[in-house]
Amino acid sequence: MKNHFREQAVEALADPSIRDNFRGAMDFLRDKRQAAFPNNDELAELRSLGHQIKANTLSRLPDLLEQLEENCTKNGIHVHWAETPEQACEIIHSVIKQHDGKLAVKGKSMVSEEISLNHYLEAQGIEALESDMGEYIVQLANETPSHIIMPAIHKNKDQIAHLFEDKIEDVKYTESVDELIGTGRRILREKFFEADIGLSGVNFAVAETGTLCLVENEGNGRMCTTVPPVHIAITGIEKVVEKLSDIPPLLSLLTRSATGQNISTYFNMISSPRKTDEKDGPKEVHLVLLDNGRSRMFQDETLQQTLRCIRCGACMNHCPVYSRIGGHAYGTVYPGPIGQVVMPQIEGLDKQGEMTEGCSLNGACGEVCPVEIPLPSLIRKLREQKAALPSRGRKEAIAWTVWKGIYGTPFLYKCFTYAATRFRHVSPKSIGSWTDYRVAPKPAPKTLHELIRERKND
Amino acid sequence: MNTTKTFKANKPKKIYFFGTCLIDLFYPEAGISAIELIEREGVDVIFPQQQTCCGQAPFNSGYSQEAIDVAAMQIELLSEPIPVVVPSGSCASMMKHHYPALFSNHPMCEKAVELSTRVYELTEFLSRVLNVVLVDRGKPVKVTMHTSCSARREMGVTEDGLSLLKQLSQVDVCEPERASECCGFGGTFAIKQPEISAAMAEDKCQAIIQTGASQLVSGDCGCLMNLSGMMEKNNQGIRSAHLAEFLLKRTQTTD
Amino acid sequence: MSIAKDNILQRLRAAKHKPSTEIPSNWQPPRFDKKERLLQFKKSLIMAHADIIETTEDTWAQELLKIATSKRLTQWLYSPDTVSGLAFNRMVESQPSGITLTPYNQPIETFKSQLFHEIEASFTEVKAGIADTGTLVIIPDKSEPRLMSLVPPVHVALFRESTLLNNFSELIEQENWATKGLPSNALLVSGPSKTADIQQTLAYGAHGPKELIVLIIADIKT
Repeated sequence: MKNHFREQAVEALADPSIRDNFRGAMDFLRDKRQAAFPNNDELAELRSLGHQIKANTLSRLPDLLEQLEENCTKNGIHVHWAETPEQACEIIHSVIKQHDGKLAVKGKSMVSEEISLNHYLEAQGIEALESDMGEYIVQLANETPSHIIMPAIHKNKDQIAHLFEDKIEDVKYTESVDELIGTGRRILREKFFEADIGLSGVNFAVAETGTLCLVENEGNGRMCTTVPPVHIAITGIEKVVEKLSDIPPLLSLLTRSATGQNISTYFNMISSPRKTDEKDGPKEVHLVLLDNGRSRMFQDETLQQTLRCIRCGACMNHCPVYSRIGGHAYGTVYPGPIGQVVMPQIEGLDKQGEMTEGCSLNGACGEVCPVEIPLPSLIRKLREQKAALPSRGRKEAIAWTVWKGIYGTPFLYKCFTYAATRFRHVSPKSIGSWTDYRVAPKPAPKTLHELIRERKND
Repeated sequence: MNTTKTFKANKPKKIYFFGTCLIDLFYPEAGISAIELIEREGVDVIFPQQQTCCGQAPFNSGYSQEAIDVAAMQIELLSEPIPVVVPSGSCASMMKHHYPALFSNHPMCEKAVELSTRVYELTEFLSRVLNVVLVDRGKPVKVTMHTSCSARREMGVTEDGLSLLKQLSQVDVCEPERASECCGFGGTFAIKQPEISAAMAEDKCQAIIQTGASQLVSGDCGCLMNLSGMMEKNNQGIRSAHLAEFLLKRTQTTD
Repeated sequence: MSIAKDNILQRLRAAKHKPSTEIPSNWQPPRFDKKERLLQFKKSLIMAHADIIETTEDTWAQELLKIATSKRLTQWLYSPDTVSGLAFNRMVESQPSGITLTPYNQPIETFKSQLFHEIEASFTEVKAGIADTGTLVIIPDKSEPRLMSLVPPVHVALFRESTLLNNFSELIEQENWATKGLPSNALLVSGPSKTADIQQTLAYGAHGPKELIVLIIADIKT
């Protein structure tokens, strides 16, 4: 099925609550980020370092993954490898089955969205409950996250108040955020208490020490990785980091870029399941390493840079397109600039190529990316690959051939511009969608070429 | 990125002027104004008549071969080792920052790289190389400026344009809200995603009108065409002009 | 599943790479002089909505008791294995207060119900502090397990300035984790649990403690 980006975008633009909710949220997050980087020089140095660390990691990716597995195993963490979403789901299901698990509480994980884990587990009779407040809201509404960091950003508090009133027993309508969060806390605490499985993502997996690092503010991540007897973490293979000393700069970049915090409330470093003399923590820890197209991205020198991403969401926060249409319009797990680069590579340009057009190449995303991924260049590169597909739009290909014919032949160009200027009064008043919103530009009486020739003759 | 050759020490005797296709057909006055501003400083302007377009539009659309074919001709036309001045942030950026990548596997790679070191956006050239001094001869006016995304992020010349404007004593420069956000033009983006582009342009027009300025200026005619086209359609138009045209008019002695 | 592993690694190894170019960076984690360091630590904690109480070796237990009584928190989790846990216990026993101290001395499996449903507050020590970000370094162990700083709605932590570091990088170096390996769980805690998931409005006590109170014992000035 082809992604109908433009149609979905048009629908989103017509929804004033989407426009308002995203505008408010994006302004908020942009201001927060800017305040978190008061010193431009420091920011530049830190971004270079982030770029360098992730680039070095990628240059040794296969070795580091093996080192990670070796050290995790030494620490008592079971490591699994999955090439596809199906494989990852099966691995997770088989671990849950071994423990006869019925209820899995989940910390925030975009990779779990990528593999549609919740649906898979549900079909197997296992309840997978999101416990991040935003994810919980989204799950309650039977929706998907519209932002990779703030999943329920498309909803305002009135909408959430109505949702809670409708979906949760004995909850009255309230616009008090404290009360709404209190309700979530109350319900989810009991779920942490009951759950037999904890699922989570991973922000950084340290090869050198076999450590899984999780960044969060709410404490649900710690609950999921500590209370249930089994913890299963899932992550993409690009999340490996070589050294523990690489973590402080990456963490600083991540939280400051994402939400403008100098650090998140919790930074949780997990290096082993519960040891014999310890009283809590999971008895088993599993790590699932997912490929799902990443090793393919890795093949291209340029597109490989996609894998530097630390999933901070700053690119979407600063994207003027995302700010207006929101995350759902992209119709993909990852929205915004990083989504426009990741999704066509995972799912193919035939299916997801259309979304690369939803970009004015204004460069705001690349400017804020904490690991200096040249997102606009990557989007352009994907457009180039799309234009080389047999399925490319024929009209556009013809248009560029004609364009080249004119602009590549100075004589023809001169004829063309001469005609356009001389017949300016009959130039079209309506030129497709441009004039739906703007007046048509009118050629000047004479071109610059002519005016200059005339000046010389004076 | 500091590959720009410095011509500051001694002002160049002559320069190439690359007019851009948009200015050629729709805003030639902007081109003439830019040339006059440069000539006024005692610099000869060479305008190769065979020039057409930098090739940015097909390049951004993924049609690199078409872009290369046209760009290669421009490179050949601008081969003397003198500065190339471009009255557009986005076309300047195409030549300065994207030609080297576009031609990286092309026999003309070396020439493309060499050219890129000589490319200047107009306001950058006026303020940093020529160090122009502007004497305002106009009446008091409130002006707002839109800096294109390429001028801002790729060329890094936001301050150059503003500083020229701020030299004018009777001009009150006011910045629109969210000044750094894209106006929605994006070349073929405005054609391919007209609804999103319009939503962005609407917000930008509103921010511009809210400044209370009676004049909009920009160093990029693409953005101007987008914004003034929309404001005119909605009958809320304020005057708009390329920065070069505005600067020249304000500083001309014979009026 | 080693087939998946082999396939993934094989694909990664088949890829051609540009030799990685060195990207220069002079970034250094922030450092502070001694006086500034504690100020930065306190400032950051306060900004993160933690409560701080500056106290001394002689008076902190008294302060802790005051917190318990003023907030009417009677069910406390503590560790009888730490010096400060014992001191808290002595303080509680020295006068009638109605406060019950419970040790976390059994596995979570048998303690979960009490921990989730009865305990109102916990008191722990911290391993170190990080000035840059206003962070408490908590290394859970058998005497102060992982959930002690997470499940109780109020968490009081005892911090000594002598353990204050400039930044996270210093902690990693000091603990020599890269060579020694890490403890099973190591935590950086920088405030009470919070969320802004509803319309960017901050709410505290999302899932973890609603309140984080830090008892700060400053170094004695010489």
